[in-house]
Parts: sequence; C-alpha cells; structure tokens
Amino acid sequence: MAVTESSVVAPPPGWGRRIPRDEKLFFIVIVMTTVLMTAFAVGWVVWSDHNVPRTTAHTTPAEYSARVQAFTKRYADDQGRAWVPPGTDAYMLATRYSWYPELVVQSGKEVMIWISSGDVLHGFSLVGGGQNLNLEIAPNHAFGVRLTPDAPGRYRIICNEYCGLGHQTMASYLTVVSAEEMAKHVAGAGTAAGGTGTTAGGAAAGALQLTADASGKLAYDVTELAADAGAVTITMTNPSPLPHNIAIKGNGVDAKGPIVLKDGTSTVTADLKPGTYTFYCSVPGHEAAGMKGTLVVK
Amino acid sequence: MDKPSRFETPGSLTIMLIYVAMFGVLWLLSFVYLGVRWAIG
Amino acid sequence: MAIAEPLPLAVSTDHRELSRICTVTGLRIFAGAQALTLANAVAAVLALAAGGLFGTLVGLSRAPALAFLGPGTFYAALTGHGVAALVLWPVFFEVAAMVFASSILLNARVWSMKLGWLSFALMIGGAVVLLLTILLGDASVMFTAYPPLVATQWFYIGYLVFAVGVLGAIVNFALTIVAARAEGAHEGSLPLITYGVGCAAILALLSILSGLVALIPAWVYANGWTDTLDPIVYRGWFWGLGHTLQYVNVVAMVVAWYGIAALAYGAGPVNQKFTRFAFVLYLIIAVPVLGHHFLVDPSIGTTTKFVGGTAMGFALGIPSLMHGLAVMGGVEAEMRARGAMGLFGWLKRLRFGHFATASLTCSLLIFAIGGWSGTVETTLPLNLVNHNTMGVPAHIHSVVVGGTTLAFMGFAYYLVPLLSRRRLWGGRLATVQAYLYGAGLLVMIVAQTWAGALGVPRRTQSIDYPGGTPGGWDASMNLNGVGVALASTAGVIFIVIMVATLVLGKRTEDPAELVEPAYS
Repeated sequence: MAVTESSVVAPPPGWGRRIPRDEKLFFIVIVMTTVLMTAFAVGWVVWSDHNVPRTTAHTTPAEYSARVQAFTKRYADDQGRAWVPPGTDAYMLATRYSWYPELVVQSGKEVMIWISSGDVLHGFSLVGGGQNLNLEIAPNHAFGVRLTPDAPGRYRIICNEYCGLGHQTMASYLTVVSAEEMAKHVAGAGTAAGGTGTTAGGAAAGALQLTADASGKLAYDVTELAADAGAVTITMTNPSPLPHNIAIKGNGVDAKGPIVLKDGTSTVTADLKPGTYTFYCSVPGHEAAGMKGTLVVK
Repeated sequence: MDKPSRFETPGSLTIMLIYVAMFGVLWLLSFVYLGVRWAIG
Repeated sequence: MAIAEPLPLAVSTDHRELSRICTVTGLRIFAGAQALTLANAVAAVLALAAGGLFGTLVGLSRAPALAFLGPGTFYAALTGHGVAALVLWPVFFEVAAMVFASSILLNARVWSMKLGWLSFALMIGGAVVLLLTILLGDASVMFTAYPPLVATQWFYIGYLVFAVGVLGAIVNFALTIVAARAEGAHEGSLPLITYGVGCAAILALLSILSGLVALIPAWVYANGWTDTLDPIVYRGWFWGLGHTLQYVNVVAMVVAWYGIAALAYGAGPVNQKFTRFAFVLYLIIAVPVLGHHFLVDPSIGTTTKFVGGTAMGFALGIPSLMHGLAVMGGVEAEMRARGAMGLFGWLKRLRFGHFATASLTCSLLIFAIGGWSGTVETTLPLNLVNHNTMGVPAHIHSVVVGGTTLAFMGFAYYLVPLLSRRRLWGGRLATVQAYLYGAGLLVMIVAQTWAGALGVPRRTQSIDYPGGTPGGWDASMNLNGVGVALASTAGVIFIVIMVATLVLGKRTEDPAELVEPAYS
C-alpha cells in the first residue's frame, strides 16, 4: 500500500479543490453555536450577576491583618468564632494553615465576606451541602464574596490551592444559623471581648515570655523554657501578620491562650506539677511545622 | 434527512453534528445546575 | 538593492551521505534523521514511564482506601508526575515529530546534525536536573510555584536548559525545511503533517518565550536576589507558557490522527484547504486563551476574564471540531472510494481489532469528552464551581492522556517499527493496550468528574479532614483509584511493547510485516 499517494504525506497536484458541502455546513453550524454560547454567557454575566466574582480591593498583609484583628475583637465569642450581624462586612484571613476567624452568618441574609492572604496563594473552597464556591486568594489582594446562604448548617471551607506541606490540613467551617439564633447571640453576648485578649505590655511578674517569628516563619524565638512548679504563665507577643497563640500540654494538662494577630499578646496560665511539658501554637499546622518547645517544671 | 448524493461524507457529518448538539445541550444544563446554587456576586 | 544571499548549507550537497529508501512509504531516510528521530522518541517513552510511575503512585494514594503517601512524598511525586508526563513526554515526542516532518517526510537531511544532538543533550540535561530536584524534595511545587512559594533555583535552571534545547530543535526544524527546498529535495506545498507540525513549532516558540519571561525572574527571586514578585503577574506569564504548550499538544495530536489515518487506511484529510485553515485558527486563538487561569482571581477585570478565558476558549473549539470532521471524513471518503455504502457502512469496513482503529477511536472519543468539559470549565460563572476541584484533572486527563497520549501511542506503533525496521512486538497486544488504556481513562474521568462536582480538591495529599470528610468524597476517589490501576497497567504494556520492539522485534523490510492495513 503506497502511502505516498495519500494526500497526507505529499499533496497531489491541484489539491486546492473546492471545500465540500459537508465541511461548509459544519463550519457554519459550529460558528453559530459558538456565537450563541458566547451571547448566552455574556447575557448571564451582565444581567444575572450570579456567580461572577467581581469585588476586589488592593491591600497589604499588615493592613488587612489589622482589619481582621479589629473585626474579630468586636464579634468573636469565647470560642473564637465571629458572629456576623446582618449588614456587617466579615473579614477572613488565610495563612498557612488556617482560615481565621471561623464565621457564623445568618440564613437568608446577604453577607459580604472579605478574604485575603497573609502569605502565599490559597484556594478558598466552600463545599458541602451541595454548594461549591472556589476563589484564588492572594496576598496584597482582597476578594469580596457577596453571598446569601439559604439554609442553616455547617459548611466546610478547605484550601484547594497548594500552599505548602500542611495544605491538606487547612480546613474550617462556615456556620449558618437562623435569625433567632443570631438574635439570641447578639442579645446575650454583650461584648465579645473574651475572644481575643490583647493585654497591653506588662505580663505578671515571673511570667515566661516568648515571641513569635516576625517574618511569618512558623516558630517561636525560643525552644526551651523552665519554671517552678505551681501557677505558670506564658505570655507570647506576635509581631507577624499570621495568627498565633501559646498553649501548654502534657501530663494531663491542656490549656490554650487566645489566638491573636499582629501586635497582639496571647497569655496562658496553668497549674503545673514538676515534669516536662510541651508549649506550642495550636493554630492548625503550626505545631507540626515546628512552632513548639519544651517546658521543664521543677 | 441524509442526502448521500449531495454530502460526500454523511456518516462523519452525522456523528459530528450529534456531538455538537449534545455538547450544547449539556453546557446549557450546567447553568440550570448553577441556578439552584447559592448566588455570589 | 541588495538581494539576500541564499542560506549557507551546513552540509554539502554531496548526496553520498548514508540513506535508504523505506520499503513501505518510498521516502528517502537519511541515517542522521532516523537516529535523531528515534532518540527523541525513546527519550519520550522513558519520560512517559517516569510520569506514569509517579501518576500511578499519586492516583492510588489519593484513593482513601489506600492512602499510603505522606505529604512530603505525595507532593514530590505529584510534581514528578506533572513534569514527566505533561512536559517531558509530549515535548520529546513532538521534537521527534519535528525532526521526522522536516527531514524524512521531505526526503531531506537534517540541516545540522550537530545542532540536533546538542538540542537533544540540553533537553536530556534539563530533564535530569528537573527530576533530580523533584526526587530530592526540593521542588514540591507542582505547576503552582507562585511566589512567595518557590522551589530550589535548580528547578528553574532545569526548565530553562530544557527550553533552550527545544528552541534549538525548533530552529533546526525550520532550517531543515528551508534547506530541503533549496537543495531541491522537496518541491511544492508542504505535506499536511509538516504543515501541522510547523504550527505546533510556532506555538512552542511562543510558549517558550512566555516561559522565559516567567521563569527568569522567578529564578532570580528563588535565589533571594529580589524580594518581591507579584504572584498574579507571575501566573500570567507562566500560564502563557503553560496553556499555549497544551495547544502544541493538541496540534501534535491532530497531526498524529492524520498520520495514523494515512498509514492505517490510506486516508487523507477530506479537504486540504479546510484542514490547513483549521491549523491556522489554532495559531490565532491559542495564546490569549491563558485567561481561563484567571477566572476566579482577584483584581482582574470581568471583561478581561470573559474575553480571554471564556470567549477565546469557546472559539478554540472551532478548529478542533473541524479536524474531528476532517479526520473522520477522510477515513469515510477512503472507504467509500473502496465501495462502502450506506450511512455507516464505512465504519463496518474498519478493523476494530487493529491497534490503529483502537487508538484512533479512543483518542477521538475521549478528546471529545475533554473538549466538552474544558468548554464548561472555561465559562466564567461555571468556573467558580469547579476551579481547583477534581473537575480540572478530569478535563486534563481527557484531553492530554485520552487525546494526545493515545494518539501518540498509536502513531508510535507505526513510527518505531518503520524507523527501526523491526516488526512491532506482541501482535494484538497493542490493540488490547489501546482499549484498556481508554477504558481505564474513562473510569478515571467519570470518577474525577463526580469528585469535582462534590468539591473534592485537586493537588491535595489527603481528604481526611479533622471533623470528617463530606459524603461521597471517599467513594469517588476510590473509584478513581480503580481507573488509575487499569490505565497504569495499559501504560506499562505500552512501554513493554516499545522496548521489546526495539530489542527483540524481528528485523524486516517486508512492508506486510511492518504495516498491516486496518480496514477490509
């Protein structure tokens, strides 16, 4: 079988013959289909505003962190979850490897949730309950997500843009509550100051002190501490844009200080018998990355 | 509807036209799926 | 007015350089061209083996029932899978096609064998550096090394060295064609395969240029010599490289379709004008399409996203659909010329037990599925639902593995025996391989589409989240594992057939043993 006669290897002379009817018809059909699809999509984007992520702003990790800090201070409950009254913008910070703070919003009400990153690109992914929303979250850019949840529940937030070796642990929830629940909380909570404690300066005399790494590395400035048995207080200052805290565990003890952002101070106190304990940061992924040390109590 | 005397390759044309039709319909159905989701803007 | 001097010929017009006449195609094959084509093809197959091995590991590990890779190993293996299977395998094969289409198909010699071997050496060198950095765990960044997330500087150097090698091959390709015409080895318009490979080469050139703009500053940043590099800007230039490169793979796949159809059925495209116009359309539309990577990025205007991502993405379906009709129509026309009657009588004349029909059919079918899923995902409001979910790998594996890789495999089953003059080893095993690969891929695609619809993330080592995993996630990823096992088995069979052909295949020049017609 001589392949050289095939018009693929060497075109036979006079190959410029007219295009057959089949191809002409098909070309018209596919061009028309493309035009119709484009027109439909344009119409959807222009008129429905449904699933078109438009709202963004420029920012910096430091500036954005401050906003998140202020927002959380005002609205967080004593578990650190921020309850968002209808009409208030919510702020969320993505850093390796956490979404901070966890939000509680009201069903049936539109809410604007701002999200930015304090370090690398993250992928905001709201899943579960059959709902998928996926956005790229970058440092220096804040995304504004205007959404109206329609059913109470706890919806998963995960990260789906690779951000480092702890990427698969970066998960949180969006909690949606009914109007009654939200009203109850707003009435009963009073000030939400219990959520994020920022104590100015002076730690208790004899308290142990340490600092989180200012550049955003997941580490403290010391890895060993020593104390006398009895009431032990550790105070951590956080000069970085990432959320951190200080916690103690070991020998049946498990105490955690509040999570704080830039320029915040976190304090934890526990009654410790002589022995060896671990102090660490309980923000997901931080301890595994090395943000911990040994506390020897005599 | 096929006129072999006027189309040179009616079999291929039929297959491709069916594919394009399915393509368009399924694409449109995706918007229906979208419509029942939460809207974000 | 000075007239440009004719290009100096790097080799003499002394035609006593070693060549032979192919007993099947009648083409004059120069020894150098044959060796360079085979070398690149062998490198491609080895890259496929590496990429397939990494892919098997990550695919099986992502099945929650198995889940055996820790984060460090997983992300390193996933990077290895991406680099070896999506960059090294197709690009080495495309360089083999470039050598083949510019020299052998034109009865000509390669313009510069020195440049050819230098390019090959640079590509091998770059590939080795890339794989080493990945295996050492210093480059676990997949294709998402968006600053401040960076890899070791050697990773970028590996890419850059590889890219320079490919640039050399592109230059050689162009000058070989020019020399072939100057020497009189080829006259008239270029054969379709050469024309198509030429379009692929132009797209490859554009991707590499974009890549240089992305990777050189990234390399500088990775060394700590600057301390800012906006990730969104980097993403733009990187995907100018990345997505345009995918269109090199699409064009090459289409070329392989025509090549298989010619060798299997004696069929050509149904109309040359139509086909060549479709190739040119790829050139016009392929570059701006990188916009679909930004559909859910902050600070980029909706109009830019829509035009670059959605509208151009839709337009890019046009040339692929045209080629779909042209390839099938060409086969149909050939069968009708041989007496096939009725609407689908021509299909009955094809031997579905022949590897050519198996690979061509599966490639067309699975690429068609991938073309559809890509169109859905590039639609702006729909992208919000599937960005970075498993829906994206579903699309990728449809087009690159089902489409390009299967087409390359089918073409390799002809190319390797014809160039090495050894009979394809294993007989019907090649057919079984193609169908098994197609079946495994279909299972994977269904599973990944399902997982994506549920929101399962891509590029993630584990979905065992504290507090529990959403319903259906584990089941869909376990099903994916089944598909991976089937496809990997078929992949291994392909490697075995290729190696066995080169090492054990019966030496022959008999056309009947090298090429078996795939129709009756």
